[in-house]
Amino acid sequence: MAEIGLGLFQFFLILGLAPFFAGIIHKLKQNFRGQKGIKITQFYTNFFKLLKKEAVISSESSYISKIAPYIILSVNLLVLGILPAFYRYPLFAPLSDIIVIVYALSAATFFITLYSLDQGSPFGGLGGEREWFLTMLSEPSLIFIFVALAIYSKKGMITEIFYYIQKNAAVAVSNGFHGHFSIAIPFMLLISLFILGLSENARIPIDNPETHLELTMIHEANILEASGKYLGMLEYSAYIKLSIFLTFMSLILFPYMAGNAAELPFAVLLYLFKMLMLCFIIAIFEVLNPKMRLFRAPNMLSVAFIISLIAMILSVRGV
Amino acid sequence: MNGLLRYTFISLSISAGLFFLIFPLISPYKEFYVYTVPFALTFKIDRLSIFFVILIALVSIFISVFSLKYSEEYKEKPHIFFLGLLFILSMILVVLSYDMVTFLIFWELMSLTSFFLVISDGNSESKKAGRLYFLMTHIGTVFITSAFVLLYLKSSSLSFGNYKDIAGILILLLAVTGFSIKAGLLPFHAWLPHAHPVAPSHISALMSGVMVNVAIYGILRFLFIFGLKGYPYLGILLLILGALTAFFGIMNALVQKDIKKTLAFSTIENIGIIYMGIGLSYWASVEGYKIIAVTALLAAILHVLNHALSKSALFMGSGIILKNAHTKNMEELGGLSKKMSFFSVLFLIAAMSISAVPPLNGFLGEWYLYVSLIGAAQTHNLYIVYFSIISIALLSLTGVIAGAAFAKLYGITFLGKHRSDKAKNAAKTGLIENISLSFPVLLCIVIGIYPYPLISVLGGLISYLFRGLVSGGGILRAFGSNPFSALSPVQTYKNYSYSMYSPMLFITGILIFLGLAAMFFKIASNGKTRKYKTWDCGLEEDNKAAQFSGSGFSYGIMRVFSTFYSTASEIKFDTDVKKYFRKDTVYSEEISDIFEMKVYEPLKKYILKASNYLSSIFETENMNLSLSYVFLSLVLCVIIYLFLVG
Repeated sequence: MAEIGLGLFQFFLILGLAPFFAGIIHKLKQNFRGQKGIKITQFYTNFFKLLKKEAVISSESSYISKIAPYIILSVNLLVLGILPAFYRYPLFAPLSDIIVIVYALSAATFFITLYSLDQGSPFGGLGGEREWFLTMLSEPSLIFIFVALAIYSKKGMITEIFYYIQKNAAVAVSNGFHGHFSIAIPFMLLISLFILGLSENARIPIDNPETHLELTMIHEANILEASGKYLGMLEYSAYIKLSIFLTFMSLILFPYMAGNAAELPFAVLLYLFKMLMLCFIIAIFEVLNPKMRLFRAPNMLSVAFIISLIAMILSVRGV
Repeated sequence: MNGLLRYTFISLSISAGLFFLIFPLISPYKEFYVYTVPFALTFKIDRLSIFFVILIALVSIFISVFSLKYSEEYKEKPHIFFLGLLFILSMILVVLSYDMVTFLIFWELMSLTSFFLVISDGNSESKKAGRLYFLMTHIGTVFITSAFVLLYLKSSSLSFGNYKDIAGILILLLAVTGFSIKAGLLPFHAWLPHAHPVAPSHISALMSGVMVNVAIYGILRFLFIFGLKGYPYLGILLLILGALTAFFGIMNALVQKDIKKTLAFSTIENIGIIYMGIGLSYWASVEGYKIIAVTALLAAILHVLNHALSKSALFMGSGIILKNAHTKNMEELGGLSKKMSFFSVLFLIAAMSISAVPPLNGFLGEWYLYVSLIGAAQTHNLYIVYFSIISIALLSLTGVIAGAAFAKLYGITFLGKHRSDKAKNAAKTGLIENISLSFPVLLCIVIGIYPYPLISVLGGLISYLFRGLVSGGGILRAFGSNPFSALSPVQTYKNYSYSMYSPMLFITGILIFLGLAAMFFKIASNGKTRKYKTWDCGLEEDNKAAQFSGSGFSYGIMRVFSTFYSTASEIKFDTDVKKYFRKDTVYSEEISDIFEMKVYEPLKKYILKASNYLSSIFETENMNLSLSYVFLSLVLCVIIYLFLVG
């Protein structure tokens, strides 16, 4: 029972903080640029404001426009429920198989592209096409990352994979001897995951959600026709997805998952610290880099692809 | 009269399907004979054939029920339904055959009836496809026949009962090549995307959903029952060919504009995935990795089932679209979901199932395949480690492009505005069509979320194929007995942890979150909605062509992977630009299969050249010389026979 309680706490904490992480990246970026910037809580305000607004549905749209936002949101919530962010036993621990997670995320992509095509808007299709264009390069890399971790740690579930890394890292630090455990593979995977995090979450060198210029937009083009509560759902799903990727990064970076309630406060604090650090890094990265031409994005993504492929090959080891 | 004949044949097909669905279940594992004049036809129902008979009969019933209404398209041609009946019967009897003569007779009957069905439309496209199909399928039959002849020479018996564990590498290679031509494996696939789409839609569904499975049946029988266990490289060959086929098939499916052609290429993809499972399982059973062998074979067999269900549903769906909108070109469709809402939901579920969206059944097979590939990557056998990593890479690419291809297929066909008057004036779907389509779709969902009983049944089949060496049932048990238990937790390799996936938990989680989200947004949000036209940048022109097109949707991927395509495109437009849209802009694009361009065409040229050369040597008007050629070829045959008996 305590497990479920703590699992719920973990789930709702990340769910509640998701717009905050997105907000802090935005705020940091604006500060670096010398702008006054939004409030950190701006995305909460936006969300509740959207709820109050009337939803305008395109007269060309079908049932997809009504159900897709709900499905996208629930798939992202499910993946969030699988994550062992700072507590070892997440709500949906039996689903934490690596392949299930990746395919669940791709189901959300499937529905967001259907949503984009539903209103018959030229922008929507543009976004859908680009979404698949990037996903087809990034999703295999994500599978490689998880498979590399699975082969490396000989575990099939992410809860166990990250616990394995945590345990071995602790042993390596305290004994000064690392045995089979090596930092190389998680490090390579972190780089690759960072690139994927940027591309899957519409961050700057690939996409810029702050603009509404059809030459560049990907995520915004998909949800251009959404309004009111539907836009709220889709935006919140995007925040959750960002938090999911940041959490994956934080787990590879330095996994520390509490096993019981006593360890929890420290784990939460460490988790928040890691997340803020990652937000900071992403904000700096976004400020320093210009938006890339769309057809140059594959170059960057293929770097991620190759790194994770190499990591997958390296992870095959003896014993 | 024609109508009467039509309905007679269709009801005969349904009853044949029902008979062969029930008959194996009430008298399983029996041998029976049909005495005909020159020799007796032998049939036997064993665990392998019972699975395929039930699968073929089941899918044939759905398709026959569907053709009750669909047959209105072919009012003048009742013979199509007679051929369809023969086609279904021959497929079932191939699978039941228990000696080589029976097998080859029904195999040939299956090929011929399907050939006549392919050319039944009578236009030049179907004739061309029919010629290619006829040629390829008979090359395949030659390979299969020679494999059987070699088996006969080895065992001096016609019955399958005497062929156990005697086939060497030559026989296996011949048989696998022969069956692969029917299944559409990579170098032999060229006929498939031509022949499957041009047949009437219910026949396309039979060919794509069912006939390829007969080829898979042949391969399973040869590899696991007739074959000597001792050729691990054959398994690796099948694995990597399967992976390449899957990747190649889906890359081509993505760029097609013709709905049925997309589906045909997707069949090639799924055949590739099935081959990956079979190859890996054969390799593992030879090398003694029992659990990998079981999971990989389970993946292959589940995928056979899933592909049969979802692909037949999709082809039936394409038939409905073709019948109601009179086109199968996506670029002329669009907005169909408003006309046919229930049908469009069914089509969406079938498309999701085939593009492996969890928790539907397509994902289940792929999940098992991933699990066994990850297991194989940890065995310290260098070859399989290398190839399984490559296969994981190709499988993951295949999976994501399948998503793109079916999002495109569904999105362009069913969503958005009508792209032409054909789509605008499309008729509504009938009740029978919806019902017949909903059976396979319902099965897709049920198998996807509650596969436990099915998997324990398939465990028996797998134990039969490994003949007691591995007990499938033992390995594939579930943890505990509650419905949320994880599915067949398998430890694919020692030291490796259990891989688990609980589809019931997945669907429950999704439903809980859907419910919570619906409740939250019902309470918290302003419930008002308003309908308004899609934003069109303030232009007054109502241009339906301004929405995204199908070829645009796959353009980005096509550009990055341009090596895999052979395209020729051309834009024609008038220079006189009025407002924002040019009056006449014609963009034509032709995408052809690179294999056809780079392998088949040159090969055809060389074969023609060689045969011209030979005929110029041997062509003679001298009677004695001709007779001596006949004599010499007879001598040659005897020498070959002596060599083979050797």
